[in-house]
Amino acid sequence: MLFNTLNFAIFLLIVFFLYWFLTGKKLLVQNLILLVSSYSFYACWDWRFLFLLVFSTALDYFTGIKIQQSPSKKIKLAWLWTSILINVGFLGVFKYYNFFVKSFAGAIALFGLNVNPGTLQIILPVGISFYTFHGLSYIIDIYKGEIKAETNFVDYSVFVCFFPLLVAGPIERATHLLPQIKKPRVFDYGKAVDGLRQILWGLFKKVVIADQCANYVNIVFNSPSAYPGGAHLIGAVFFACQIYCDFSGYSDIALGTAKLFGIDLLRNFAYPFFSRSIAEFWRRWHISLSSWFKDYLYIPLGGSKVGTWKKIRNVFIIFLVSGFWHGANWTFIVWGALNALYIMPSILLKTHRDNINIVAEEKALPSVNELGSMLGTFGLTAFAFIFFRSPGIGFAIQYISNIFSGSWHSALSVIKPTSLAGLFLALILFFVIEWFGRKHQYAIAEIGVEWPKILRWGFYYCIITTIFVFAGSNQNFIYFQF
Amino acid sequence: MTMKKFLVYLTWFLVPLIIIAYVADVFISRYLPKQNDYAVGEFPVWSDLFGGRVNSDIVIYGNSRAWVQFDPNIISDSLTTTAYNLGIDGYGFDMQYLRHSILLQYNKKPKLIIQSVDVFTLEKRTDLYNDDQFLPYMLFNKEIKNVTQNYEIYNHWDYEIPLVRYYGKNTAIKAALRMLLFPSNNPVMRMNGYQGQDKEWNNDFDEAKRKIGSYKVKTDSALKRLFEKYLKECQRDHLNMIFVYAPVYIEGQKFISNGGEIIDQYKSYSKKYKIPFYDFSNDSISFQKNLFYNAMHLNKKGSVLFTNQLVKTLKDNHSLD
Repeated sequence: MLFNTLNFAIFLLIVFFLYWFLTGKKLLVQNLILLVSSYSFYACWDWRFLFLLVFSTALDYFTGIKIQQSPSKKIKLAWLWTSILINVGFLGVFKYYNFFVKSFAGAIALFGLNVNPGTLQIILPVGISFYTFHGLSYIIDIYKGEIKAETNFVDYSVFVCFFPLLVAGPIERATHLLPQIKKPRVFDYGKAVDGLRQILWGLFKKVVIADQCANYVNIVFNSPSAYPGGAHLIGAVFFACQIYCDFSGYSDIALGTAKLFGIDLLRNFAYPFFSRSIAEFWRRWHISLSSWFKDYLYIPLGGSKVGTWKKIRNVFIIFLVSGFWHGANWTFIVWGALNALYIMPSILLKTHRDNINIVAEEKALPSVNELGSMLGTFGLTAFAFIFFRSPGIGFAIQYISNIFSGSWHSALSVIKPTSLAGLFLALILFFVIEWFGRKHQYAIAEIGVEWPKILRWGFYYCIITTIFVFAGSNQNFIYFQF
Repeated sequence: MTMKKFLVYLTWFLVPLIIIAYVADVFISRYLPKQNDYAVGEFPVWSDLFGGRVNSDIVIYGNSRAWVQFDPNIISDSLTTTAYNLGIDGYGFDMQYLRHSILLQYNKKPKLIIQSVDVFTLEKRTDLYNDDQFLPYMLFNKEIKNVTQNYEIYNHWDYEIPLVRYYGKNTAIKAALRMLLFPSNNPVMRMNGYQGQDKEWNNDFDEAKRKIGSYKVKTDSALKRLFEKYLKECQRDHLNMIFVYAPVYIEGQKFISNGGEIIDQYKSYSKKYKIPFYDFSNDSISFQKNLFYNAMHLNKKGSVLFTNQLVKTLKDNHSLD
């Protein structure tokens, strides 16, 4: 059940009414409705994996309690590793088994030995990378003594399975989400309206920008040999825009949906394409994952408070693992490595904490320097995203070399020039709206709030009409595959 | 209180949207079918069917081989009667039966059904080819829903809620707008359902032969049952029918490894239900490459020649008597 379908809208409507009208503000009933609806939502994808989800939830619930109850550190550690190994084991089998088997066979073949890689036809359970990380952060936090184990299974299950974040995040923390689940929610008009507005903007980003860019990107990436030069360059730029609007659009819908139930989720994107450096980009892109790796991997490894070589090692480890988290393909690892290389100078020069504030915070327009930095950062990330989008490393290298070959006018041969011009126009308009809304959680949060209702609603009707007219066939969200 | 306010505002916000959606649906569904060259030109045929404008003594059923090969204008001129070609591109008998049902519902009963049969008549498609052709007609239409809903292109809401089915169909929306703004720019593609193809032989067949060598048609048991049901219904309702196996280029016939078996199947239906079967697969037309634009389809010149021959056969056999 995709967020951008009528089925989801109807599902949401039903759950919304059950949640606010049947519960009588009773916490247990509210949480039970959220849990049942979350399981139903998940079952719509593939009911067989519901058992895996329930098992994973029960495992972390149980080990969390065991860690807390254990008298000695050794036993706590044993329970912690039990949970980590089982969780990562599931992830390894479902997501990485074939990759490891094929890579092993490939490595052996280098020594002249041929083995038949016993790959399996494995379907990746939707959201496994996300809910596994939910569970891991929970038990690690208990082990570190930062939180207490949750003893109410329903509450804990809602924390793991809450349907807006179940299939593609944001990756929540128990410290943030569990306290909200433990309190009865009271309907908040402002929050609900804000949620609907955020859903609308998320849909716009996904349907109008991401899906339209995808039409172009798919043509170029599916038959790169047919389109030299400029088409590849525009394909790379459009893919960067596509993946941003696809994933941040999804996140906006998730956050907006949660608000309808009186719950705030962690912010996942903060206008990453207005970053002046790669370090800033990574503070603004997929924030819930970046901060997860920072807190549970980078800092335990010593972070940046170690010697130079260890610092370099740590940066590479988190970016390589982050790349690998995205998918079982060397392209993701190269994508991670490239980002590690990009960020390395700022780590070594200790400038990575620069640019904490919003770009041109009190000004309408950026300075030339700021604009240059933003364009440079965008260029680097768009380049790295070529590997993210490519099916293999050889393909990506060929794609990059194609950028520098042939006619730069060839971009016009991919889709109709009028469609290309329309897409550019839509992107410019989109980034202008994002620029003026960059101080807020999402770009249209404050647009029209002071306007007369008729104008404000007119603005929303325009967005709805644009979504309807421009809706394309690329309905899947990119991050659902992770 | 805040919930009440929320629901009131939400309702007020949605009411104009619902009205606009309904009006937009009516507008698109009215103008889109006027676009003659959209959706492989199927709109005029569907519109004639639903609008009761087929009303012909002779109707031709079949797939693309019916659509481009049987010229109803020659038939009606030669036999001084009315004829309409209901051939639908790309589909087997399930979609042909849908057209038959709609014909009987909205039009007068024909005196003669020319059922074009070929190797693909009883083969089931796995996709909903040219799905836009159903858009203007499918809202609240159970017959179309029954035939098309299993293809996973349209879901339940598309058939039941106005405008939903046009979500993501921006070419259809643009086509409707084009018809509103430039109604004169609309060339006629089909004449009573028929569309002769002024084309030279192309390389489709050579390409297919090079790639796969030969092709075995998998007839679908559900389609066979439906076909027999249809034959029984026609018998019950005293609808005269003939089977016609139109010319297929001889190399194309060889390309289908089980073509003979399928023709035998039609012969057995013909015998069982006492339906005349006119087989042109070995007619001299089937040996003349210049009369085809690919192995399965006659070009316009070929279709005129074939239709004249068919008319002669009909006359000789007093098929309309």
